[in-house]
Amino acid sequence: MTWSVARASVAGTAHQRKGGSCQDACQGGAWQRPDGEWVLALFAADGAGSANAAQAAAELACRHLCEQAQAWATNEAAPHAPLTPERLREWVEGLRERLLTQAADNNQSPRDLACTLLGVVCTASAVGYLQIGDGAIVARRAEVNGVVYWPDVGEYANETFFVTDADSLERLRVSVYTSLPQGLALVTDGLQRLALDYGTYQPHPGFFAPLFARLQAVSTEDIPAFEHELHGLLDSKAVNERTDDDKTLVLALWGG
Amino acid sequence: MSSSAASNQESFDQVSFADNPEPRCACLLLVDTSISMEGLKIAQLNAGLQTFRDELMSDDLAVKRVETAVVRFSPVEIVQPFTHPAQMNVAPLPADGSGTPMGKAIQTGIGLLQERRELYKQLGIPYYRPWLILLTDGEPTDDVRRAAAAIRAGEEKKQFAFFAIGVDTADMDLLARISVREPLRLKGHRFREFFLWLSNSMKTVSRSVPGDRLALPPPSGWAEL
Repeated sequence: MTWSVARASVAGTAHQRKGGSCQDACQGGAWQRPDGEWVLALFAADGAGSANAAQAAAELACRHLCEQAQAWATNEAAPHAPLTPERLREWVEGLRERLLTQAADNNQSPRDLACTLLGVVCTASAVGYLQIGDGAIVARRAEVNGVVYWPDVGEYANETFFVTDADSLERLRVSVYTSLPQGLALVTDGLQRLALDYGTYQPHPGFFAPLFARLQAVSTEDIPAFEHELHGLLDSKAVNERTDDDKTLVLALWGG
Repeated sequence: MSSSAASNQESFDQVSFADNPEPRCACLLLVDTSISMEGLKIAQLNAGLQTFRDELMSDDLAVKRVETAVVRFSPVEIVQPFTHPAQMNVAPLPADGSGTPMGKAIQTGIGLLQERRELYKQLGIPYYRPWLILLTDGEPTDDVRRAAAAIRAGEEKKQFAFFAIGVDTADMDLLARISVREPLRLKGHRFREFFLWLSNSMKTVSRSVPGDRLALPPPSGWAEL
Protein backbone atom coordinates (compact mmCIF):
# COMPACT_ATOMS: atom_id res chain seq x y z
CA MET A 1 0.00 0.00 0.00
CA THR A 2 1.78 3.09 -1.15
CA TRP A 3 -0.75 5.89 -0.80
CA SER A 4 -0.25 8.25 2.08
CA VAL A 5 -3.39 10.11 3.10
CA ALA A 6 -3.95 13.00 5.48
CA ARG A 7 -7.18 14.82 6.21
CA ALA A 8 -8.52 17.60 8.37
CA SER A 9 -12.02 18.99 8.84
CA VAL A 10 -12.57 22.12 10.89
CA ALA A 11 -15.77 23.94 11.89
CA GLY A 12 -15.94 27.45 10.44
CA THR A 13 -15.79 30.40 12.81
CA ALA A 14 -19.46 31.14 12.06
CA HIS A 15 -20.40 27.70 13.41
CA GLN A 16 -17.94 27.94 16.29
CA ARG A 17 -19.52 31.26 17.34
CA LYS A 18 -22.98 29.72 17.38
CA GLY A 19 -21.64 26.72 19.27
CA GLY A 20 -22.39 24.49 16.31
CA SER A 21 -20.28 21.69 14.98
CA CYS A 22 -18.65 21.09 11.63
CA GLN A 23 -21.12 20.08 8.93
CA ASP A 24 -18.39 18.83 6.63
CA ALA A 25 -17.48 15.17 6.68
CA CYS A 26 -14.76 13.15 5.02
CA GLN A 27 -13.94 9.47 5.00
CA GLY A 28 -11.53 7.30 3.11
CA GLY A 29 -10.48 3.71 2.86
CA ALA A 30 -8.00 1.41 1.18
CA TRP A 31 -8.77 -2.21 0.43
CA GLN A 32 -6.98 -5.05 -1.28
CA ARG A 33 -8.84 -6.65 -4.16
CA PRO A 34 -8.93 -10.46 -4.43
CA ASP A 35 -6.08 -10.27 -6.98
CA GLY A 36 -3.93 -8.27 -4.56
CA GLU A 37 -4.42 -4.89 -6.24
CA TRP A 38 -5.04 -1.95 -3.88
CA VAL A 39 -8.01 0.38 -4.12
CA LEU A 40 -8.06 3.82 -2.53
CA ALA A 41 -11.32 5.72 -2.04
CA LEU A 42 -11.75 9.24 -0.63
CA PHE A 43 -15.04 11.05 -0.06
CA ALA A 44 -15.99 14.45 1.32
CA ALA A 45 -19.41 16.02 1.79
CA ASP A 46 -20.53 19.46 2.91
CA GLY A 47 -23.86 19.50 4.75
CA ALA A 48 -26.03 22.48 3.78
CA GLY A 49 -25.89 25.24 6.38
CA SER A 50 -29.57 25.40 7.16
CA ALA A 51 -30.32 21.70 6.80
CA ASN A 52 -31.45 20.30 10.16
CA ALA A 53 -29.52 17.08 9.80
CA ALA A 54 -26.67 18.45 7.69
CA GLN A 55 -23.90 16.89 9.69
CA ALA A 56 -25.57 13.48 9.86
CA ALA A 57 -26.26 13.64 6.12
CA ALA A 58 -22.67 14.49 5.23
CA GLU A 59 -21.40 11.67 7.45
CA LEU A 60 -23.92 9.19 6.05
CA ALA A 61 -22.96 10.18 2.50
CA CYS A 62 -19.27 9.50 3.08
CA ARG A 63 -19.96 6.28 4.99
CA HIS A 64 -22.36 4.97 2.36
CA LEU A 65 -19.95 5.61 -0.50
CA CYS A 66 -17.09 4.03 1.44
CA GLU A 67 -19.22 0.93 2.05
CA GLN A 68 -20.04 0.73 -1.65
CA ALA A 69 -16.40 1.12 -2.63
CA GLN A 70 -15.34 -1.52 -0.15
CA ALA A 71 -18.04 -3.97 -1.23
CA TRP A 72 -17.01 -3.54 -4.84
CA ALA A 73 -13.27 -3.76 -4.15
CA THR A 74 -13.45 -6.83 -1.96
CA ASN A 75 -16.13 -8.75 -3.86
CA GLU A 76 -14.76 -12.27 -4.29
CA ALA A 77 -17.56 -13.13 -6.68
CA ALA A 78 -16.54 -10.41 -9.14
CA PRO A 79 -12.85 -9.90 -8.52
CA HIS A 80 -12.28 -8.06 -11.79
CA ALA A 81 -15.37 -5.87 -11.92
CA PRO A 82 -14.11 -2.72 -13.63
CA LEU A 83 -14.41 0.80 -12.31
CA THR A 84 -16.88 2.54 -14.63
CA PRO A 85 -18.82 5.83 -14.58
CA GLU A 86 -22.01 3.73 -14.44
CA ARG A 87 -20.84 2.04 -11.26
CA LEU A 88 -20.05 5.38 -9.59
CA ARG A 89 -23.42 6.70 -10.70
CA GLU A 90 -25.16 3.67 -9.15
CA TRP A 91 -23.45 4.34 -5.83
CA VAL A 92 -24.69 7.92 -5.82
CA GLU A 93 -28.19 6.81 -6.85
CA GLY A 94 -28.15 4.39 -3.91
CA LEU A 95 -26.97 7.14 -1.60
CA ARG A 96 -29.69 9.49 -2.78
CA GLU A 97 -32.35 6.85 -2.11
CA ARG A 98 -30.90 6.16 1.32
CA LEU A 99 -30.96 9.87 2.23
CA LEU A 100 -34.54 10.26 0.98
CA THR A 101 -35.64 7.13 2.86
CA GLN A 102 -33.99 8.37 6.02
CA ALA A 103 -35.71 11.74 5.62
CA ALA A 104 -39.10 10.04 5.18
CA ASP A 105 -38.50 7.73 8.17
CA ASN A 106 -37.69 10.70 10.40
CA ASN A 107 -40.48 12.94 9.12
CA GLN A 108 -37.93 15.26 7.61
CA SER A 109 -37.87 16.85 4.19
CA PRO A 110 -35.11 15.90 1.73
CA ARG A 111 -33.83 19.45 2.22
CA ASP A 112 -33.01 18.61 5.85
CA LEU A 113 -30.41 16.12 4.61
CA ALA A 114 -28.95 18.29 1.85
CA CYS A 115 -25.23 17.89 1.24
CA THR A 116 -22.73 18.21 -1.58
CA LEU A 117 -20.45 15.35 -2.67
CA LEU A 118 -16.83 14.90 -3.72
CA GLY A 119 -15.30 11.49 -4.38
CA VAL A 120 -12.29 9.72 -5.87
CA VAL A 121 -11.73 6.00 -6.35
CA CYS A 122 -8.30 4.95 -7.51
CA THR A 123 -7.11 1.49 -8.55
CA ALA A 124 -3.80 0.46 -10.11
CA SER A 125 -5.25 1.00 -13.57
CA ALA A 126 -8.03 3.58 -13.33
CA VAL A 127 -9.22 6.58 -11.38
CA GLY A 128 -12.86 7.61 -11.02
CA TYR A 129 -14.17 10.99 -9.90
CA LEU A 130 -17.63 12.09 -8.83
CA GLN A 131 -19.05 15.42 -7.71
CA ILE A 132 -22.34 17.15 -6.96
CA GLY A 133 -22.31 20.86 -6.12
CA ASP A 134 -19.38 22.95 -4.99
CA GLY A 135 -15.99 22.13 -3.52
CA ALA A 136 -13.30 20.67 -5.74
CA ILE A 137 -11.09 17.69 -6.44
CA VAL A 138 -7.56 18.49 -7.51
CA ALA A 139 -5.51 15.90 -9.36
CA ARG A 140 -1.75 16.15 -9.47
CA ARG A 141 0.16 14.54 -12.30
CA ALA A 142 3.92 15.09 -12.44
CA GLU A 143 4.26 18.86 -12.11
CA VAL A 144 0.90 19.55 -13.69
CA ASN A 145 -2.11 20.12 -11.47
CA GLY A 146 -5.70 20.39 -12.46
CA VAL A 147 -9.16 20.87 -11.00
CA VAL A 148 -11.25 17.85 -12.03
CA TYR A 149 -14.57 19.71 -12.02
CA TRP A 150 -14.93 23.40 -11.31
CA PRO A 151 -17.27 24.02 -8.31
CA ASP A 152 -20.87 23.78 -9.52
CA VAL A 153 -22.66 26.87 -8.23
CA GLY A 154 -25.86 28.75 -8.99
CA GLU A 155 -25.98 32.33 -10.20
CA TYR A 156 -25.45 33.70 -6.72
CA ALA A 157 -22.48 33.18 -4.43
CA ASN A 158 -24.66 31.49 -1.82
CA GLU A 159 -26.25 28.89 -4.11
CA THR A 160 -25.15 25.38 -4.97
CA PHE A 161 -26.61 21.92 -5.60
CA PHE A 162 -27.16 18.98 -3.29
CA VAL A 163 -27.49 15.19 -3.50
CA THR A 164 -31.05 15.49 -2.25
CA ASP A 165 -32.15 17.93 -4.99
CA ALA A 166 -34.81 16.62 -7.36
CA ASP A 167 -32.43 16.86 -10.32
CA SER A 168 -29.21 15.89 -8.55
CA LEU A 169 -28.54 12.86 -10.75
CA GLU A 170 -28.50 15.15 -13.79
CA ARG A 171 -26.14 17.43 -11.89
CA LEU A 172 -23.88 14.52 -10.95
CA ARG A 173 -20.54 14.63 -12.72
CA VAL A 174 -18.64 11.34 -13.04
CA SER A 175 -15.61 10.27 -15.08
CA VAL A 176 -13.15 7.42 -15.15
CA TYR A 177 -9.65 7.82 -16.57
CA THR A 178 -6.84 5.34 -17.09
CA SER A 179 -4.08 7.87 -16.55
CA LEU A 180 -3.46 7.86 -12.81
CA PRO A 181 -2.75 10.92 -10.67
CA GLN A 182 0.26 10.98 -8.37
CA GLY A 183 -1.53 13.14 -5.89
CA LEU A 184 -5.12 13.99 -5.02
CA ALA A 185 -6.74 16.66 -2.94
CA LEU A 186 -10.35 17.25 -1.96
CA VAL A 187 -11.46 20.66 -0.68
CA THR A 188 -14.94 21.70 0.42
CA ASP A 189 -16.33 25.13 -0.42
CA GLY A 190 -15.01 26.77 2.75
CA LEU A 191 -11.55 26.43 1.25
CA GLN A 192 -12.22 26.67 -2.44
CA ARG A 193 -11.65 30.42 -2.78
CA LEU A 194 -8.31 30.07 -0.98
CA ALA A 195 -7.16 26.98 -2.85
CA LEU A 196 -8.37 27.66 -6.40
CA ASP A 197 -7.52 30.51 -8.73
CA TYR A 198 -10.76 31.86 -10.21
CA GLY A 199 -8.87 33.82 -12.85
CA THR A 200 -7.10 30.84 -14.43
CA TYR A 201 -9.44 28.03 -13.26
CA GLN A 202 -6.38 26.24 -11.85
CA PRO A 203 -5.48 25.07 -8.35
CA HIS A 204 -3.45 27.76 -6.58
CA PRO A 205 0.08 26.28 -6.62
CA GLY A 206 1.12 28.26 -3.56
CA PHE A 207 -1.54 26.40 -1.59
CA PHE A 208 -1.05 22.81 -2.77
CA ALA A 209 2.68 22.57 -3.58
CA PRO A 210 3.97 23.13 -0.01
CA LEU A 211 1.29 20.79 1.42
CA PHE A 212 2.12 17.96 -0.99
CA ALA A 213 5.83 18.54 -0.37
CA ARG A 214 5.28 18.21 3.38
CA LEU A 215 3.12 15.10 3.02
CA GLN A 216 5.80 13.56 0.82
CA ALA A 217 8.34 14.00 3.63
CA VAL A 218 6.08 12.59 6.37
CA SER A 219 6.45 8.96 7.38
CA THR A 220 3.35 6.83 8.01
CA GLU A 221 3.68 7.02 11.79
CA ASP A 222 3.89 10.82 11.66
CA ILE A 223 0.64 11.21 9.71
CA PRO A 224 -1.45 11.91 12.85
CA ALA A 225 0.96 14.72 13.82
CA PHE A 226 0.77 16.09 10.29
CA GLU A 227 -3.03 15.98 10.40
CA HIS A 228 -2.90 17.86 13.68
CA GLU A 229 -0.83 20.55 11.96
CA LEU A 230 -3.24 20.63 9.01
CA HIS A 231 -6.04 21.16 11.47
CA GLY A 232 -4.06 24.08 12.91
CA LEU A 233 -3.56 25.56 9.47
CA LEU A 234 -7.28 25.32 8.64
CA ASP A 235 -8.14 26.99 11.94
CA SER A 236 -5.41 29.65 11.64
CA LYS A 237 -6.07 33.38 11.71
CA ALA A 238 -4.93 33.70 8.08
CA VAL A 239 -7.59 31.20 6.97
CA ASN A 240 -10.34 32.44 9.29
CA GLU A 241 -9.92 35.99 8.02
CA ARG A 242 -10.91 34.77 4.60
CA THR A 243 -13.66 32.31 5.36
CA ASP A 244 -15.99 31.61 8.26
CA ASP A 245 -17.40 28.44 6.72
CA ASP A 246 -16.59 24.82 7.59
CA LYS A 247 -13.56 23.60 5.69
CA THR A 248 -12.23 20.18 4.85
CA LEU A 249 -8.97 19.20 3.17
CA VAL A 250 -8.00 15.68 2.16
CA LEU A 251 -4.55 15.07 0.67
CA ALA A 252 -3.30 11.82 -0.85
CA LEU A 253 0.06 11.06 -2.45
CA TRP A 254 1.15 8.01 -4.36
CA GLY A 255 4.45 6.89 -2.94
CA GLY A 256 5.44 4.92 -6.07
CA MET B 1 11.72 16.57 17.68
CA SER B 2 12.19 20.29 18.03
CA SER B 3 14.04 20.51 14.73
CA SER B 4 11.27 18.63 12.95
CA ALA B 5 8.68 20.90 14.54
CA ALA B 6 10.65 23.90 13.30
CA SER B 7 10.84 22.54 9.76
CA ASN B 8 7.10 21.81 9.86
CA GLN B 9 6.47 25.37 10.81
CA GLU B 10 8.68 26.55 8.01
CA SER B 11 6.94 24.55 5.31
CA PHE B 12 3.48 25.66 6.49
CA ASP B 13 4.65 29.26 6.31
CA GLN B 14 5.08 28.71 2.63
CA VAL B 15 1.41 27.95 2.14
CA SER B 16 -0.18 30.90 0.38
CA PHE B 17 -3.78 31.55 -0.60
CA ALA B 18 -5.24 32.40 -3.96
CA ASP B 19 -5.99 36.07 -4.40
CA ASN B 20 -9.53 35.90 -5.72
CA PRO B 21 -11.96 38.81 -5.86
CA GLU B 22 -14.39 38.80 -2.95
CA PRO B 23 -18.00 38.00 -3.85
CA ARG B 24 -20.04 41.20 -4.01
CA CYS B 25 -23.32 42.07 -2.47
CA ALA B 26 -24.96 45.03 -4.21
CA CYS B 27 -27.35 47.26 -2.28
CA LEU B 28 -29.15 50.03 -4.11
CA LEU B 29 -31.00 52.75 -2.21
CA LEU B 30 -33.75 54.77 -3.90
CA VAL B 31 -34.24 57.77 -1.68
CA ASP B 32 -37.11 60.25 -1.82
CA THR B 33 -35.65 63.77 -1.57
CA SER B 34 -38.77 65.69 -2.53
CA ILE B 35 -39.48 68.84 -0.59
CA SER B 36 -41.83 67.01 1.79
CA MET B 37 -38.77 65.27 3.26
CA GLU B 38 -37.34 68.62 4.33
CA GLY B 39 -36.28 69.26 7.91
CA LEU B 40 -35.92 66.55 10.52
CA LYS B 41 -36.73 63.69 8.12
CA ILE B 42 -33.94 64.37 5.65
CA ALA B 43 -31.52 65.10 8.49
CA GLN B 44 -32.28 61.74 10.07
CA LEU B 45 -32.09 59.98 6.73
CA ASN B 46 -28.66 61.53 6.10
CA ALA B 47 -27.47 60.51 9.55
CA GLY B 48 -28.85 57.03 8.85
CA LEU B 49 -26.79 56.73 5.67
CA GLN B 50 -23.71 57.63 7.69
CA THR B 51 -24.58 54.96 10.29
CA PHE B 52 -25.06 52.46 7.48
CA ARG B 53 -21.60 53.15 6.11
CA ASP B 54 -19.95 53.07 9.56
CA GLU B 55 -21.62 49.76 10.39
CA LEU B 56 -20.44 48.15 7.15
CA MET B 57 -16.93 49.52 7.74
CA SER B 58 -16.83 47.80 11.12
CA ASP B 59 -17.44 44.35 9.66
CA ASP B 60 -14.51 42.35 8.21
CA LEU B 61 -16.47 40.69 5.45
CA ALA B 62 -19.14 43.29 4.73
CA VAL B 63 -16.51 45.99 4.21
CA LYS B 64 -15.00 43.90 1.42
CA ARG B 65 -18.22 42.64 -0.11
CA VAL B 66 -21.07 45.13 0.16
CA GLU B 67 -21.34 47.70 -2.62
CA THR B 68 -23.82 50.50 -2.23
CA ALA B 69 -25.35 52.90 -4.74
CA VAL B 70 -27.76 55.75 -4.03
CA VAL B 71 -30.31 57.19 -6.42
CA ARG B 72 -32.33 60.17 -5.26
CA PHE B 73 -35.61 61.53 -6.55
CA SER B 74 -36.37 64.22 -7.39
CA PRO B 75 -34.63 65.10 -9.54
CA VAL B 76 -33.77 61.51 -10.48
CA GLU B 77 -30.04 61.51 -9.96
CA ILE B 78 -27.40 58.87 -9.23
CA VAL B 79 -25.79 60.54 -6.23
CA GLN B 80 -23.56 57.55 -5.51
CA PRO B 81 -22.60 54.95 -8.13
CA PHE B 82 -21.86 51.46 -6.74
CA THR B 83 -18.91 51.60 -4.40
CA HIS B 84 -17.30 50.02 -1.34
CA PRO B 85 -18.23 51.36 2.11
CA ALA B 86 -14.88 53.15 2.45
CA GLN B 87 -15.51 55.15 -0.71
CA MET B 88 -19.13 55.88 -0.01
CA ASN B 89 -19.86 59.59 -0.15
CA VAL B 90 -22.32 60.44 2.58
CA ALA B 91 -22.53 64.20 2.01
CA PRO B 92 -26.01 65.23 3.19
CA LEU B 93 -28.70 64.98 0.54
CA PRO B 94 -30.88 68.08 0.18
CA ALA B 95 -34.67 67.69 0.20
CA ASP B 96 -35.38 70.20 -2.49
CA GLY B 97 -37.04 68.26 -5.29
CA SER B 98 -40.37 69.17 -6.70
CA GLY B 99 -42.42 66.11 -7.51
CA THR B 100 -41.85 62.44 -6.72
CA PRO B 101 -40.84 60.65 -9.95
CA MET B 102 -40.78 57.24 -8.29
CA GLY B 103 -41.32 55.28 -11.50
CA LYS B 104 -38.34 56.82 -13.21
CA ALA B 105 -36.18 56.37 -10.09
CA ILE B 106 -37.05 52.66 -9.85
CA GLN B 107 -36.27 52.11 -13.52
CA THR B 108 -32.97 53.96 -13.15
CA GLY B 109 -32.12 51.78 -10.16
CA ILE B 110 -32.98 48.52 -11.93
CA GLY B 111 -30.83 49.67 -14.87
CA LEU B 112 -27.89 50.35 -12.56
CA LEU B 113 -28.26 46.90 -10.99
CA GLN B 114 -28.32 45.23 -14.37
CA GLU B 115 -25.14 47.05 -15.42
CA ARG B 116 -23.49 45.96 -12.20
CA ARG B 117 -24.50 42.34 -12.71
CA GLU B 118 -23.06 42.43 -16.25
CA LEU B 119 -19.80 43.84 -14.89
CA TYR B 120 -19.56 41.09 -12.24
CA LYS B 121 -20.17 38.46 -14.89
CA GLN B 122 -17.61 39.99 -17.24
CA LEU B 123 -14.95 40.09 -14.52
CA GLY B 124 -15.81 36.66 -13.15
CA ILE B 125 -16.69 38.10 -9.73
CA PRO B 126 -19.14 35.98 -7.75
CA TYR B 127 -22.11 37.88 -6.36
CA TYR B 128 -25.11 37.63 -4.10
CA ARG B 129 -28.66 38.51 -5.00
CA PRO B 130 -28.76 42.33 -4.96
CA TRP B 131 -31.17 44.36 -2.84
CA LEU B 132 -33.18 47.32 -4.07
CA ILE B 133 -34.63 49.57 -1.37
CA LEU B 134 -37.17 52.32 -1.85
CA LEU B 135 -37.62 54.95 0.86
CA THR B 136 -40.45 57.41 0.28
CA ASP B 137 -42.86 59.64 2.18
CA GLY B 138 -45.08 60.52 -0.74
CA GLU B 139 -46.95 59.25 -3.72
CA PRO B 140 -45.52 59.09 -7.23
CA THR B 141 -46.02 62.00 -9.57
CA ASP B 142 -45.16 59.87 -12.60
CA ASP B 143 -46.50 56.64 -14.10
CA VAL B 144 -45.20 53.67 -12.10
CA ARG B 145 -46.74 50.88 -14.18
CA ARG B 146 -43.56 50.06 -16.09
CA ALA B 147 -41.51 50.22 -12.91
CA ALA B 148 -43.97 47.88 -11.17
CA ALA B 149 -43.79 45.42 -14.08
CA ALA B 150 -39.96 45.54 -13.97
CA ILE B 151 -40.01 44.81 -10.22
CA ARG B 152 -42.34 41.87 -10.70
CA ALA B 153 -40.21 40.46 -13.53
CA GLY B 154 -36.98 40.96 -11.57
CA GLU B 155 -38.39 39.28 -8.46
CA GLU B 156 -39.76 36.41 -10.51
CA LYS B 157 -36.38 35.77 -12.11
CA LYS B 158 -34.74 36.26 -8.71
CA GLN B 159 -32.61 39.05 -10.18
CA PHE B 160 -33.00 41.18 -7.06
CA ALA B 161 -35.04 41.59 -3.91
CA PHE B 162 -37.15 44.78 -3.77
CA PHE B 163 -38.17 46.36 -0.45
CA ALA B 164 -40.46 49.38 -0.15
CA ILE B 165 -40.37 51.45 3.02
CA GLY B 166 -43.02 54.12 3.55
CA VAL B 167 -42.47 57.14 5.77
CA ASP B 168 -45.24 59.25 7.33
CA THR B 169 -47.82 60.03 4.68
CA ALA B 170 -46.49 57.55 2.11
CA ASP B 171 -49.16 55.91 -0.05
CA MET B 172 -48.89 52.38 1.38
CA ASP B 173 -51.58 50.99 -0.94
CA LEU B 174 -49.61 52.09 -3.95
CA LEU B 175 -46.39 50.64 -2.52
CA ALA B 176 -48.23 47.36 -2.00
CA ARG B 177 -49.20 47.37 -5.67
CA ILE B 178 -45.66 47.85 -6.98
CA SER B 179 -43.80 45.65 -4.48
CA VAL B 180 -44.05 41.86 -4.46
CA ARG B 181 -43.03 41.84 -0.80
CA GLU B 182 -45.30 43.61 1.65
CA PRO B 183 -44.17 47.23 2.09
CA LEU B 184 -43.32 48.31 5.63
CA ARG B 185 -44.05 51.63 7.28
CA LEU B 186 -41.27 53.30 9.22
CA LYS B 187 -42.14 53.71 12.89
CA GLY B 188 -41.95 57.47 13.49
CA HIS B 189 -38.70 58.67 12.02
CA ARG B 190 -36.56 55.70 12.98
CA PHE B 191 -34.20 56.04 10.07
CA ARG B 192 -31.25 55.14 12.28
CA GLU B 193 -32.85 51.86 13.38
CA PHE B 194 -33.78 51.13 9.79
CA PHE B 195 -30.21 51.62 8.55
CA LEU B 196 -28.85 49.54 11.44
CA TRP B 197 -31.20 46.75 10.38
CA LEU B 198 -30.15 47.15 6.75
CA SER B 199 -26.45 46.98 7.58
CA ASN B 200 -27.05 43.90 9.75
CA SER B 201 -28.99 42.30 6.92
CA MET B 202 -26.18 43.08 4.48
CA LYS B 203 -23.69 41.53 6.91
CA THR B 204 -25.83 38.39 7.01
CA VAL B 205 -26.19 38.18 3.24
CA SER B 206 -22.53 38.90 2.53
CA ARG B 207 -21.37 36.00 4.68
CA SER B 208 -23.98 33.49 3.63
CA VAL B 209 -22.78 30.27 2.06
CA PRO B 210 -24.53 27.73 -0.14
CA GLY B 211 -27.34 25.98 1.66
CA ASP B 212 -27.94 28.75 4.17
CA ARG B 213 -31.50 29.80 4.73
CA LEU B 214 -31.00 33.52 5.34
CA ALA B 215 -31.93 34.46 8.88
CA LEU B 216 -32.38 38.22 8.55
CA PRO B 217 -32.82 40.28 11.71
CA PRO B 218 -36.48 41.13 12.45
CA PRO B 219 -37.52 44.65 11.37
CA SER B 220 -39.40 45.16 14.64
CA GLY B 221 -37.08 47.98 15.79
CA TRP B 222 -38.13 50.32 13.00
CA ALA B 223 -41.23 49.04 11.23
CA GLU B 224 -44.87 49.25 12.18
CA LEU B 225 -45.88 45.61 12.14
